[in-house]
Amino acid sequence: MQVTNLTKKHGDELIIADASFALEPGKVTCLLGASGAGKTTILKILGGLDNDYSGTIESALARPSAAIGYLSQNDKFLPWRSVHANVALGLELTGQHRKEAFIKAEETLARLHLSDFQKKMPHQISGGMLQKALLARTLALEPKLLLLDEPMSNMDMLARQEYARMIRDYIISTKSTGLIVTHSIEEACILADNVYILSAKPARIIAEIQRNDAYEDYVAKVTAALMKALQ
Amino acid sequence: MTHKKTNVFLIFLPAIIFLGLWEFGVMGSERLRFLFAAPSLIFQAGLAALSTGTIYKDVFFTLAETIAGLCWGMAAGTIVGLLLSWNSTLNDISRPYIILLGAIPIFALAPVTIMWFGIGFLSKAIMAGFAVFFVALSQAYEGARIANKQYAGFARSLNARPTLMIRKIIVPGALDWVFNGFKMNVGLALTGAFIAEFVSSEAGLGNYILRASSLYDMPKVFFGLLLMSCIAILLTSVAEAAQKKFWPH
Repeated sequence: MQVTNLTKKHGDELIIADASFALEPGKVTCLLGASGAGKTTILKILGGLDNDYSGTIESALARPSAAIGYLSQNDKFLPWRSVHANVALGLELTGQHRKEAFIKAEETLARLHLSDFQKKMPHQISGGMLQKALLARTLALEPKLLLLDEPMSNMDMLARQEYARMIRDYIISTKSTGLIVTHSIEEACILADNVYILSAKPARIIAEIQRNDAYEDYVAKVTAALMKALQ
Repeated sequence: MTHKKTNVFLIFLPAIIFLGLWEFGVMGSERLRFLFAAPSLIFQAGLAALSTGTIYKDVFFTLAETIAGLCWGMAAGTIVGLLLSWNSTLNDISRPYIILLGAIPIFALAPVTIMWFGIGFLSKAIMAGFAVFFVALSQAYEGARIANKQYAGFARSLNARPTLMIRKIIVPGALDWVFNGFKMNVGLALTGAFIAEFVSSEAGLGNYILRASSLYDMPKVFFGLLLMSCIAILLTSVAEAAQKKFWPH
């Protein structure tokens, strides 16, 4: 996917200014910026949920569609369905037969080591586990593009490592494309192969940092670039 | 917050005190016993009514009218509420008419329904249904609106077919609100049936109470009211059980 000169306005207010970036298959990219910089708006545009923008988005994927797995910060499970039935929901919504959807959901939960929780209701599991189960609902659809909005905000360090492994395994094994937006340097560095640094509103891309070095050097470079962007 | 189970005796205590005060308060005064009856007199009137058997027909009529009214009123109100939540144009057009019709007091409809549908079962069931229609509509509308706002974003991101979205998310999401509406509506349906019976009828608890009050037979009036409450409790329990089954959360 290639995004060129993406610009978004709310009335006279400029939200995103000429953002250009490329997303590569088999890699996770991160847009890192301060809260309220317009990161979620970029995700919504790429997910096809906001079509009021200028610029070009070159992609073979229909937007919106099940080929794009968009996991927003506000996504919730249906409280009347078990975790298993919730993971099957996306498949059912794309027209798959209920029985097939449930089998596939079970397989996805097993692959992500979440089978122990599949019979529980959403209110019976922890916030971190819920985030993982929500990811399972998205991954069950086998999306070609994964759009994640601050996906690890409710997790402790161990859960973050596990979650990042789940995402990276999926992206590498399926040669799909991942994009996360976050304000957390840690989240960006754990997950992403390259990080675009965004300025404060209006969001402009200030720098791009590739993950070529050791993790500590990568974190140092990203931190320095973000500090510079926010000054 | 943890909730400790309350002792059953404590739940019944206010009723025991109330009935005791009532019984002793009217004791020794024929005038007070005539005006307010007494728990022991109501008990005797109840036993007499149950042993002669005519009361069963009245209970059956009121119960059947209430259930029939609840069924059609809830079904029609829920369907209209779901339709309005889905189509904003339809909602904008129909909203003033719904407010207009909803503002009509149910009592005012009784003579009209009796003129149109007679004094039998049908007019009572229609009155009971009218009494619940607007609450059912408003609950279904609000439940569907909230389900759409809270849970349908995921379906939209998949570009899911609207029919699937309604079937899998909107309707089940609105069910909790519909069941809460059902519980509120039990009392309203009973009131609708009662008013229709009170205005003109040949049977039913409204008719029983009307006959008793015209003879100044207060124990019978209170016994009729007690039976009405029993019907309300029975139907509310059914609604609660159904809600627990379909909405375990």
